[in-house]
Formats: sequence, C-alpha cells, structure tokens
Amino acid sequence: MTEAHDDDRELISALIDGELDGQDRARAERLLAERPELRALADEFRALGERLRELPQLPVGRDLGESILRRAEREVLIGAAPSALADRRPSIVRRLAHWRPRSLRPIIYAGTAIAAGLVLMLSSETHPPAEVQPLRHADPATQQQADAKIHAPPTALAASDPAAAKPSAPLAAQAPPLEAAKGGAISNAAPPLVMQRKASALDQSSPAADLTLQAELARLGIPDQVAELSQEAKALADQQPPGKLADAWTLLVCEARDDEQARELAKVVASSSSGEKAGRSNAAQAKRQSPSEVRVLVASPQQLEKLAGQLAEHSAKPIVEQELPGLPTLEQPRSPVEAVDKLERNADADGGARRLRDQGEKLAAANKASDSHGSTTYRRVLIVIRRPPAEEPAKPTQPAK
Amino acid sequence: MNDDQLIDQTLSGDTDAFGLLVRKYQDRLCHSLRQVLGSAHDVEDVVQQAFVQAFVKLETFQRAASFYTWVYRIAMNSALTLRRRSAVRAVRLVDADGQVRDVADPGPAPDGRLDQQERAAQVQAALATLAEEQRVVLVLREIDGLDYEAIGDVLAIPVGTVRSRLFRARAQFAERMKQVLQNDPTGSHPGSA
Repeated sequence: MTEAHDDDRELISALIDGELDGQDRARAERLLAERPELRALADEFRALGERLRELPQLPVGRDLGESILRRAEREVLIGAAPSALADRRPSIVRRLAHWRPRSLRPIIYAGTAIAAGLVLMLSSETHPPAEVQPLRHADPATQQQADAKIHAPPTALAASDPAAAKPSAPLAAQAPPLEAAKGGAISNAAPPLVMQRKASALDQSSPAADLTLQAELARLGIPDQVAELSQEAKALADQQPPGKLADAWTLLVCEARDDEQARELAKVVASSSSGEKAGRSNAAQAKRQSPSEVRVLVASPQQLEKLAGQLAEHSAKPIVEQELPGLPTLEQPRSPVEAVDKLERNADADGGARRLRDQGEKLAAANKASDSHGSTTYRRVLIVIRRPPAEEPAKPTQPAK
Repeated sequence: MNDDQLIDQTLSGDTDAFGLLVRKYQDRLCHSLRQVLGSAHDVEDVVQQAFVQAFVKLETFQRAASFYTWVYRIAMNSALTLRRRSAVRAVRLVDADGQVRDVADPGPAPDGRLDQQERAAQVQAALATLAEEQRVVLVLREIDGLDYEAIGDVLAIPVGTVRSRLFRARAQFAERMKQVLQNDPTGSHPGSA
C-alpha cells in the first residue's frame, strides 16, 4: 500500500465524516467517482460506524447527581481538590452549601467530625512528638481525671447500646438512622480512608479557610458552633507565638482492620507529623518534650455522629476518652497500602513519607498473611491525638560537647 | 434550559442545576467510556469522578468547547490513568475458535442464532484489540458523534492528527472485524462489515 494510496483513503475517511470542504472535498468526490475500491472503502467505513452505534447503551439506572455532589463535598472538605483550587474553595463550598442530600449518610457525620477536627488542628504544625498511649489510661486516677473532663452529651458517647442513644439534636434533625451494616450503603457514602487535614491547609489567617468552615457548618445546620469553634481555634493559635507549642487535637477518621492496625496508623501519623519535623528528630529532645496522647477509638457511624456533636458543642475542650462498644463492621475490602498511601500524601515531606511507606508495606504483608481471600472487614476508627498545652517554650538544647 | 444556563445556575449556587447536567450526560458518558475501557468495570466510578472534578473546577471552564466535551476530556484522562494504574485489562477474549468470551458472556445462544448481544460482543471484541489511541478516537467519532475539532479538544491533539488517527483506527478496526467474523461459525451476518 503506497503512501499516496493511504492519503486517498484518509481523504475518503474524512469525507464520510463531513470534515472536508473546498478543494479537498472536490478531490475526494472525484476519487470516489473514479475508483470503485474507494467507494467500497467508504461503504465499509460507514457500515463499521453503524455497527459501533448499534452497541446497546446500558443506562446507569440511577441518578448519579447526588453521589457526585457528595463526593465533591468530600473532596473539598478533606482538601483533596488540587491545591491550585484553594483560592476558589470558598466558592465551591458556597455552592455546596445549598445542597442537601436526600438521605444524609455517614459523610455528614464524618464531615461534622472533620469540620470540628479541622479547627482543632490549626496549630498542629508546631506540635512536639507524640507518643502512643493505650486506649485507656493505665493509671486509674488519670483515667478518672480524664473522664471527669468529659462533657457529657445529652446521651452518653459510650452508650453500650447504640440504638438507645439519641444523636445530637442538630444532626438528628437532618439525619435518618444509618444503615451501618449494609455494605452497599456504606461503601457509597463512607468517608475517605483517612480524613486528615493538615494544619497548613487551614491557615488561620486565610479568610478562605474560615469561610470554608463556616459554610460547612452552616450546611450542617449548626453555624453557631462552627463560628464558636473557629473563633476559639483562632484565639488559641493567636496566643501562640511562632515556634511555641499549642494545645490542639488532631482528629482522624480512618478505617482499619482492627484496633491494632488502627494504633499502628496512629503511631505513624503521630510520628510523621511531629517527631521528624523541623530538626526535632533528635531523640533526646523528643523525650524532653511533653508527650502527647494518642488514643484510638473504634467507633460506629452513630458514635462518630455523637462525637461530632460533642466536638461541635464543646469545641476544643478534651472530650474524647472512651472506648466505644457495639461496633458495626464495614464489608469494604481495602488495602492497608492504600490507606497508608493516603496518609503518605498528607504526611510531611521530611521523612514522614518514607516511614509511612515502610509502614504500609508491613501492613500489607500482615494483611496478606492473614487474609488469603484478599478481602478484609474494616471498621471505622477515630484516632484522636492530643497535644500537650504550651506550658513552656521549647528551648533548643546545646549539643553535648 | 441549555448547558450554559445550567452552568450559570450552578455557579450561582443552584446545585440542582448541576444535577441536571449530570442526568443529561451520565448515560452517554458511561456508554462511551465502556467502549474505551473495554469493560464496564470502574466506568461508573470514573464518570462520577469526572463530574466531581467538573463541579470543583466549574469556574475554570472557558466554554470554548461544549460542556460534554470538557467533561469527556476529564473522564478520559481519569479512565486512561486508571487503566494504566491498574493491571486489569479488558476481559473479553476471542478464543482460538473465534468465539467471543467475556465474564458476562455465556457463549452462543442455544439455538446458534446470532442475537444482538452477540453482535455487540463481536464489535466490542474487535474494538478491544485496537491500540488505545485508536479505540478512543473511534469511539469519540462513531459513538459520541464528536467532530474532529471536539475530538481534538478532548484528546489535546491537532485536527490533522485526529483525521489521520481516525483513518488508521477505521482501517485497523475493519481488519479486526473481518478476523472476528471469519472465525464466526454461523457464517455471514446481516450488516457485517
């Protein structure tokens, strides 16, 4: 087949698409009139087009609009949208602020938790290294003291019978009961594997961030709380001179196979977000600084909802101290590597990513060993990392001579 | 209400307007991407993600192209990224005896009659054997009915490249269809290329 021949054939291809005019069109029509093989080619191409257009179109069968808007909301909330869009985030949120899903599902609860968590994470960039603590305080006195700090909600967070507990009022007004055990419903609406917003993405000096928070909470119907939270968090951050430690909480919602894996994740998060940062990798210095508390709460969606309500209600006060029973499970096979990949994206560049990668590989190996079918039941967990108050400025120590 | 009006309404805060855009194009986009990906697997997710990105980036949409073309471009990029990332490829196979098999294909109908489903499977089998760039351009033209300029917008290639690539795709597709049909035990079929 010559090149000239191909040129003619290409011309015929364009002719049947109506993409020729002027001299090209006249030439193609002349070729068709003069050369039977090109007429056959044109017929063949048309017939092929018909075959392709005859392919049965299977309708989606449902309206994707709601789930699309839910995903958009989630991306905006967790900062998954490209950073270049940061300046436009307020307007995106403003658009979403008018949206009410027909059936509010876990994203709402998670979204509330995040919104509260975001405020509390404002100053986490300056946090000291964290240590992972047991789920419960080993020291009963400490536990009791911590329990005493809990601002009891209208219904107890740790109610042993989740069904008996009522959701916090603002959310209850909007949210129907969760279909927690129904994998399909959860898998469509479950929060992302890890919802973590870095403090840097929520610059307290940015009106955009403030607007984002307020719009989100307004959408959830609790604007007063978010305004209060936002103000308190800002005030807290403002009180901290640059370089000093601030008291804050980091709140993560993620999925893990079990408590142990959740703790592993918490360790990784805690270490990657603090210990190796800004020259604080020195072990002695890390030891000198007050340890933070990292607690892992395994929570049902309903419990997350209550927690979110509490956070909204009580703002930055320490309220999370309870192990939550009665866990529904989510049949949602996920790879721990994927989980850690997401953590990695949120991790600090200086060492955190590598540590997370290593951790992910370990988790993947453990998962593979214990799960020959490649499917694992994951449950949602809440990881709360509490940072110590800024009691004293962190003075750099002189290196030993 | 046309697309521009729906976009304007969305930007002004009427999220339902964006829902209308989704409903208008979701089936068309899913159908087209199924042919590109060679499998229904993940298509809905890709389509949802494309619309999510469209919503988030809506203010950047210049409207030089149609909304559908714009969304299609986003979806195509997502689909191709997914395809490259995933080791999963099209599951349709043409057996040595010419039978088209895939996970949803139970094989020939008991009476040996070539029904619409089988005809579609043949076309999809031939399509799946094309190089990705050829398959994409063929789907955009023949299934989506986009003109060369719109195809160029979606694929970010010049119109001249669209023309030559489409010709090569057609020629290749014709060859593959002949192979499939020659191996078909039921012989010639109405409408065969």
